Amino acid sequence: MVLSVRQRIADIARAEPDRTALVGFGTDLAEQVLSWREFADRVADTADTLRAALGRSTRSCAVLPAGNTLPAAIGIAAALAAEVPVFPLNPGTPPAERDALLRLLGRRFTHGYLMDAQLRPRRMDLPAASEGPGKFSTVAYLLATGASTGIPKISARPGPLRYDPVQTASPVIRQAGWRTGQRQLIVGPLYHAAPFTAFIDALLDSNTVVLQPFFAPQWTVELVRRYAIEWLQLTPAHMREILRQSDLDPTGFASLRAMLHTAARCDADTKRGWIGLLGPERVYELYGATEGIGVTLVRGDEWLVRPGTVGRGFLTQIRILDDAGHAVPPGTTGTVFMRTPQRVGRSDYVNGQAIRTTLDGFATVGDHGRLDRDGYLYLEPRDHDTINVGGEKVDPDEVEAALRDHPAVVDAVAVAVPHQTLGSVVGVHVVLRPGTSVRRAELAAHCGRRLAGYKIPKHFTFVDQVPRSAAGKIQRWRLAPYHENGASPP
Amino acid sequence: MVTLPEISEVLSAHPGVRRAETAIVRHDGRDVAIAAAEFSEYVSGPILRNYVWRELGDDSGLAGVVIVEDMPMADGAVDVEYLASAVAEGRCTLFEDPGDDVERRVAAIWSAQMDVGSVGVNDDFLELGGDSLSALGIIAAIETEFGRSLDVYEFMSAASVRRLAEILR
Repeated sequence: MVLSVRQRIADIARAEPDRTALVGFGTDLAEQVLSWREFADRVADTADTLRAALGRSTRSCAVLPAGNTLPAAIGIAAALAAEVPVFPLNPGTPPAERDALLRLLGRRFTHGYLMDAQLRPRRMDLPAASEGPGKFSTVAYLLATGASTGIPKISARPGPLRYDPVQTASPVIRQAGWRTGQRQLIVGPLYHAAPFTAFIDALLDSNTVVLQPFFAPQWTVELVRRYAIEWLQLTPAHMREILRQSDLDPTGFASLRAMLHTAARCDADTKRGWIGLLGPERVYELYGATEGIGVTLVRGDEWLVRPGTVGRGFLTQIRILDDAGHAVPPGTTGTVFMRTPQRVGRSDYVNGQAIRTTLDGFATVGDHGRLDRDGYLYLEPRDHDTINVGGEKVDPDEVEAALRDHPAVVDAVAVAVPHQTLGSVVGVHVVLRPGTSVRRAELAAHCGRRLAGYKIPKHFTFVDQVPRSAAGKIQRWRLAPYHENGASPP
Repeated sequence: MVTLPEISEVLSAHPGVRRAETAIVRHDGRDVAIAAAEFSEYVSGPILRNYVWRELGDDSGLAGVVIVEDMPMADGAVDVEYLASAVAEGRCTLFEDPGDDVERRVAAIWSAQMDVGSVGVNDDFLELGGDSLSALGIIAAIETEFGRSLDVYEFMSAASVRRLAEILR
C-alpha cells in the first residue's frame, strides 16, 4: 500500500519503537542514538512547526544546512513528512555560490524557510526572478548539481514523496544488495544527491542509519566494523583513501552485503583493490545522473570480464546518438541518451538547461560513450574535461591515475595549460605523501613509462590538497589557472 | 464513421498536446490515418493513440500518432509527405494486432499488468506507459505463463510484444 512519509515513519515507530533509527556524532564526536520512537516524535514535532510557519503558502521551501548530523536528518525527514519542498544546503557554501543557489530557488519559490540547528524555521525572502515564478508543480526535494563544473544548477524531484513497498528502495538499489531494515552507514554528505536519496530510502525502508559527520578513512572502516554495517555507498575518492590504509583487514568488512559506488569515474586500480578486498560479488557500481533520466548497474564480476564498463541499463533503454541525432552502431562513440519509466518532463528543472531530450523521451546530460554488442556502456571523458594537445585528446583521469600510481603521490589533478603551438599541454597539481619529496623529472619519467608522449605532464605544481566536492569529484574550476608562458601559479 | 477532424479535435484536447492534425497516408500498399501532435508535455504516440481510441472507439481508424515539435505544414494543410516519411522511418509506431498465439498471450499479459486497453505488437513498453512496477509484474507473469525467466535487461531491450515473443518462441 502506498503511504505518506508521515504515515510510514509512524508505522515503523509503532512496529519497532525501540530499534535504533539513527546514530550520529555530536561536535565532541560523542555517539548519539535515536530509537525509531524518539526519531518519529521529533520528526512529527518539527513537521508541525514547519507547517505552522508556512501557513497556507504553497510557494515556499525549506532550506536546510545539511551536514551529517542528527538535526539535519530530522529536518529533512520533517520537511518530507510535512510535504514542504526541502533543499539540503552545503553548510560550507561560499556566500557568492549560496546567493546563486537562492536565486535559482527564487525562480520557483517566493520564500525559503532556513532551518537552524534547533530546527526552528526562519523566513527569508528569495530573490525574485526577473521572469517571475515559472509554472508551478509540486516538489518533494531539490538538489544542487553541477559541482564539478562550478556552475550551480538545481534539479527538482516532483512530489510529494510517497512510500511504495514495491518501489522503495528502487529496484536498482535492491539489485545492488539493499535489504529492508538493514544497517547502513552514510559517508557522503546529505546535501549530495546519492547520500541524500540513500538516506530517504533508508528512512522509508526502516533502516538503521549511521551518519559519519566527516570523512576520515580509518573512521569509516571502524564504523563499518563497530556497527556491523550491511550496506555502504562510497565515491571513488573515498574508496582510494580507504585502500591506502596500511593495516586494512578484510575481516572488518565481513558484515557488508554490498558496497555501491557512484558519483564519479573510478580508476581501474581502485576498482580492483576493492574487488580484492570484498570479492567481486559485493562490489557494485551505478552510473546515473542526478536528473534521474536513467541508470546503469555493474557488479564486480561483470566488470572483471569488461574492465572499464559502467554496466548495462537497469529498467533503462540506452541509445548512442551522433551529432545529427542518428543512432550509431555498437562500438561507435556518441552522446549517451537514456529513457526510463521515471521520466522527467522538461518542466521538472529549476534550471531548464540541464538536459537535452528527444521527441520520443530519451534524455542526456551530455555524457559521451559507446555500447558494446552486449549492451554494456563505456563512458568517455566529458568534453569540458578533455585536454586537447595539438589535436590529440587526453583523458585527465588517465594521467591522474598514472601519477597516483607513484609511491610518493597521494592525489593529483590534470588540467589543460595553454600552449602557443599545441593549443594546450597537460599540467598537473600534485599532492605528495607527507614527509616525502620527489623531483619533477622523476614524476615525468614515471608517467613516461605509463603514458604516450603527448599525455606526459609538462608542468608540475605541488599543492597541499586538490579541491574536491564532498562527492569526491575534482573541482577543476577551483584550481588556479596556469598561464600562457607556462609559469606555475604563484 | 469518425472523421479526421474529429480525431484531431480529440487529440488537441489532451493536456499534453498543443495542436493536432490528421491525414491519410499511403503505407505498405494501404491507406492509414496518421495524426501529428505538437506536444507541450512529453507524451508518446501509443499513449495518444489509445487516448483517441478510448474517446472515439477502437474502430476510429487512427493507426498512429507522430510527436512533433512544430506542426509540419505544406500548402496550408498538414504535410502528408512528412507523415509518410515518419512512418517509413519508424518514428511513428503503427498499431498492429498480435499475429500468433505467443504474441497474443504476451500482449494479454502486458494489457493486464499495465492496465492498458490496446497493446500493439510493435508498441514500446515505455512509450505505452510502462513503469518499474509493471515491468517486474510482466517479468513474473511471463515466468509463470511460459516457464522461462527473463532478466530485467532482456525485457527492457526487447521492449515490444513482438521481440519478446521472439525470445519466448
